[in-house]
Amino acid sequence: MSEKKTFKFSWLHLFYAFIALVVVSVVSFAVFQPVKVLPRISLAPGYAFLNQNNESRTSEDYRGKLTLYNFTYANCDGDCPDTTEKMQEIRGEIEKSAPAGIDYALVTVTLDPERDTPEKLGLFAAPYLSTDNSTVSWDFITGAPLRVRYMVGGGFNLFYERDPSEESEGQASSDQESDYEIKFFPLFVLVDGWGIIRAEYPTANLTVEEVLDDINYLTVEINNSEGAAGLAYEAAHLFRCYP
Amino acid sequence: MSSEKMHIDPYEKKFMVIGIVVLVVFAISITVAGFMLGIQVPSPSQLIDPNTVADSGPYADPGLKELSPGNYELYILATASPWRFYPEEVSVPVGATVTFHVTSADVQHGFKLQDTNINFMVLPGQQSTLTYTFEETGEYPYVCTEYCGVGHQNMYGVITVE
Repeated sequence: MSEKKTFKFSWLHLFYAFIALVVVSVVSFAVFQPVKVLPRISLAPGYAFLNQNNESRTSEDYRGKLTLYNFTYANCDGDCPDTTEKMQEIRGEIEKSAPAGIDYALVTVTLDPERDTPEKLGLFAAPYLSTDNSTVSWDFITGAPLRVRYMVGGGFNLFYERDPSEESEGQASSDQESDYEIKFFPLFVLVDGWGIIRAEYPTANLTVEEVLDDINYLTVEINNSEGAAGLAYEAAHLFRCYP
Repeated sequence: MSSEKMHIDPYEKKFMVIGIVVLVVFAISITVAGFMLGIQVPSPSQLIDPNTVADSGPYADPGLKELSPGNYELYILATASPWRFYPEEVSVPVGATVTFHVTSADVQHGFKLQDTNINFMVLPGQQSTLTYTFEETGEYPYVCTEYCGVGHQNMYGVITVE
């Protein structure tokens, strides 16, 4: 009983202490989440379309740029959820207050490629593109209907269809084939420079602050992607440290 | 106490070792499942307003939507007034990849698709989402698996793969 315990150092103790340190740091990283990243949701689809100036635009053109997509069509009016004005607002705000040193791009994809030729998209885009001198690139793209279906439906998971009620009415009237509406839900998608979808906003009332916050998360991650800091950000992905 | 080693029966020792190994395996698998695979208890990740879910948005017109050839999404709304799923009959072509989105407009329901790994807790205010590819033809019944009221047994439907 009275015998005093003496601590004898051994390499085994050091090994146990090391293991304990690793476990404690991993668990505390996962619990306290000191680094936050946007989730890597899925790969953005590849495509090769034409823009409003009849120039080729492919998914590869947006490598290395933070790209915000929205979806609409030129005849979209009335209660159609057109988000192009919101894109214009976001474009101005990116120009003013988004972190410098990163390339940004905006892309508007038509959901009505049958009617929206590059020329028609040029007319649709003109009022949005002419009102400010923003340097952020903004393309309005269209392509073969089946390719658009694969890109928007298969790649971005946005469902769109001709309004069935409009179609049956149209058959009664004289101009049935050129007069129809497209039904869809508003959606914005933020794609990073690696071509990975990082944020989806299924709303027409997206706030500019929300997009800028997410852009900030991405730029911080990009600026810290080298060396030990890069490992910490990879760990944040592994432990799903999402904002 | 003395520094002599305590006597432990060899069988008891083996039993203790097995117990410790099982504990370690479970602790590691819970950590991996929870933090790395993201298997978590329902958390408010995909929120949706249960009061307006039946009036606007994709659940106002539930059913099968073809996103692109062979790739579908299926919205299913569970309600307790009356007790039923919307829709109750779905037909998909064989080989189709279907992403299920299920939510409730009122109380807690369940969604179990027979012969598949799709088994949701359907909570008001949250969406349950899972993707499944139908490789074989046949009828796949789905039922409500959580007691939700006196009409609980009426909540069923069928997916026909042809």
